[in-house]
Amino acid sequence: MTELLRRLGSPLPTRLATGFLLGLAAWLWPPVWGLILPALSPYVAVGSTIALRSVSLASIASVPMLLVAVFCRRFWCRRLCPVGLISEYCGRVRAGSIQRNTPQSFAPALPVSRVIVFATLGGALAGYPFLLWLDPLALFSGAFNLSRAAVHGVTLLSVAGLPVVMFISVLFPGIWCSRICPLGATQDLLALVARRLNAGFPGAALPARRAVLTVGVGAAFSALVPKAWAGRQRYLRPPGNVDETAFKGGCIRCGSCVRACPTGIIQPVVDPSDVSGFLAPTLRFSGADYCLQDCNRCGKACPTKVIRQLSLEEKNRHVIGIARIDLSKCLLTLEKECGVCLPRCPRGAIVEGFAYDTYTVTVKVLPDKCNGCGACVGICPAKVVTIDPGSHR
Amino acid sequence: MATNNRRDFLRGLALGSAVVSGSSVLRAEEPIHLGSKVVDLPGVYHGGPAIIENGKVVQPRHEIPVLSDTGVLVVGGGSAGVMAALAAARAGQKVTLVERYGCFGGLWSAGMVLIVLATHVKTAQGLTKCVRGIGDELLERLTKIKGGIVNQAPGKRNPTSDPEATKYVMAEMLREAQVEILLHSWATNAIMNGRSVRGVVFESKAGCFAITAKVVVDATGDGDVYGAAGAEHVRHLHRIGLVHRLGNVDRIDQTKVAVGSKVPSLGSVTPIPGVVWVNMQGPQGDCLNVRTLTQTELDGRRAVWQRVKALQQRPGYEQVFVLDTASQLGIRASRTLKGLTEPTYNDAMAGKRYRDVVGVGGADFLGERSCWIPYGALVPVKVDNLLAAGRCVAADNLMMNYMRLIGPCLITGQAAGAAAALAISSKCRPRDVEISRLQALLRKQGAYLGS
Repeated sequence: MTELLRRLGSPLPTRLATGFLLGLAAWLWPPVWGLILPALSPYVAVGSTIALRSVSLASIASVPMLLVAVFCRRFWCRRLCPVGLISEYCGRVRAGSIQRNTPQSFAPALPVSRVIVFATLGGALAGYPFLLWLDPLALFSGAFNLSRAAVHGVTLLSVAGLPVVMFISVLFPGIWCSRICPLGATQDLLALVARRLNAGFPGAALPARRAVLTVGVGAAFSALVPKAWAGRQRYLRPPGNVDETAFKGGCIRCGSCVRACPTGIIQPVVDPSDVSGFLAPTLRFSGADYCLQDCNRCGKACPTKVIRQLSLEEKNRHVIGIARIDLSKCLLTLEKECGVCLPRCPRGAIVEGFAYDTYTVTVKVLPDKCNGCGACVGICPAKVVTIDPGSHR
Repeated sequence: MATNNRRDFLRGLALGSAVVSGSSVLRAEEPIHLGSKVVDLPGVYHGGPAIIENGKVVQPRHEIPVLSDTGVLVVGGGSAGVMAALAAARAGQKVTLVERYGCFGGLWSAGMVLIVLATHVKTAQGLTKCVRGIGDELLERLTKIKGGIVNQAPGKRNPTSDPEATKYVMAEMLREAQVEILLHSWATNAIMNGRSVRGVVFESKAGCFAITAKVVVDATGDGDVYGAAGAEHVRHLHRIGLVHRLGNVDRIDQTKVAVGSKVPSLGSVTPIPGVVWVNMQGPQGDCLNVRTLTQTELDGRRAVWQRVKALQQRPGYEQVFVLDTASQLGIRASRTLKGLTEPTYNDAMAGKRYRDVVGVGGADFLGERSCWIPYGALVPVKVDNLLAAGRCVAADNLMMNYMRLIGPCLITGQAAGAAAALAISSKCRPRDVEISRLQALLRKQGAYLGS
């Protein structure tokens, strides 16, 4: 035990201070976890900007790290990165593996991380940056879904990223930061570019030819595979979602929208048949929880803007889906006491019809008024209302 | 002669001294015959006919005879009104219950809504009975009558009672509690003194009369009293149906029913073998509009007979027949009170606890969770000496769909009656009753206030 403590000793003061400040900031202002932290990453910013073909305001947050990386190699990793700190301490847990990250320790022997970066950038060109979610800051903020995990069991999976990194770091100290982390590789490449501009062509671990090839393979993969890997089921996405392929690729699974949602209807998809959309957010309605008319927090919270930031007006115009009522099981049409979905609908989109020839009540959803907010789903005692993602996308 | 008649009339109604003024005319100037005899009976007082003045029909000012002065006046003898009368009488107050029809039960019996919904909620202990107290006592008494009720047993919920048994048991319970009963009298107006209700005016075969009271409970279902008293309320259009019962359902010849043919859903079980109860939703309408009611009554009846005719034409169903239709239309909602507290769906789903809880209930669309019913839902915002009970209490558009069921009507009825009695014994306005004493009284009467 004392041995362990000794090895855990001698902390890097700047990183501890950063960790403390970060924790304080997040405690005072929770969006730090989900929105600010992943947005700092140039890897996420470049990947999502290329994939979405638009520069979002959030991606500007990555400029400082981008510039620092060019002039001061892996400054972020050495001084600031919370995942790096955690990984380093995990590496110290095992005996005989005391190691401190130095610029040299980041020397890539096996350029897995660069393959990840190039392939993802290639994927981004084809609209599907498929390994964007490996960003350490996204994994880190995903871990803070833990508070929601108690409420929604499936969220637990999206929390698992950081523990996996920790596990890898215990088994193979230093390997995460030096060989896997795509954010580290992005910084290396940025430094490389700067050096190349200054001093010709130093020996790169991944030659230009192979880099181009990797980008090409990534692009080809992204153009062909996502649709094949997508499950048959279409999912409801948070309001303001971009098209499905870009959404699944550009979403870094940071859990920011999950935490931002005041009613808890945003939950990660855990569907083994939908590989490309694994852990991407979907909407699940229950009880009194639905997509509120006066809320657009998920769009504000999304660091990669695959959930676009919509004004309340735009958000209420956005169609999430459309309510479908299975009339064969609807209590009202079975002459049982019900009809609560009608006053429940905040948009007056469910109307009652009366057929005088059969003297029976029918319930109808007005497609031009329904936006699929899901208010009617949770209240239906017969559980026969569903929101159909519809053909709008 | 006229003087004699008037004196007889006044004595008959035990009025003391009432002065008939202006152009009022006393009827019953002709002798009253009993077979070949002429008998001396009180006259019929109408306060004089309406007249035409400047082309408009006008009722001239006239005095209204006061039939009696009571402690708690309960208007409406439905499930809520009967509970209110019993609760107040058992709390030791003088109670008068006035009902427009000749029987008790209102929509439950005359309206033939036989299934008592929302009797239980789901709690940590499993299915928990929330309709307790006098309401459950009534349901239990129905089990003692052969063919009185089904599904009233441990582990069962939402029982269905027989309308005739319900009318009978309610009347017996009211008579045992020595409630002063007045049938065939239709409440038409409130008697106000400023913002306080002092009594209610009723219309009867013998013209109108008044009953004054210390506290009035509006159990009319439609909020007729608080509507007349000028209490703030919300109007609703809701579905109006005409329910019926089918007989000979046990004589459906299954051998003649074509194999694989879709079996029509007939209705739900009743205490009488071979008889089912058939609900009807009906079209939406204004339940306070007499033309709407008339049209719905006519259309509903035709629909019932056409449906049953179509049923009888199916092979095997020839013996099925219309046993009866409800003698009162199925009015779901017309007015809800603007009360001191408005129970809302969102509050119910959030599990809101009220300090002034007078009952606990729940419904399927509320996820069967326990919803607390606050006393404030029975108390008008401004009008005094008046409490609402039954389906016309305060609730938002969604909670109203729970409050209108028989289960909660039994709960709010008992609460209103107990509160009215307590207001009188503590010599305060109903809005000022001490909540802890009200809750203690309700618990003593067996009510369930959660935990």
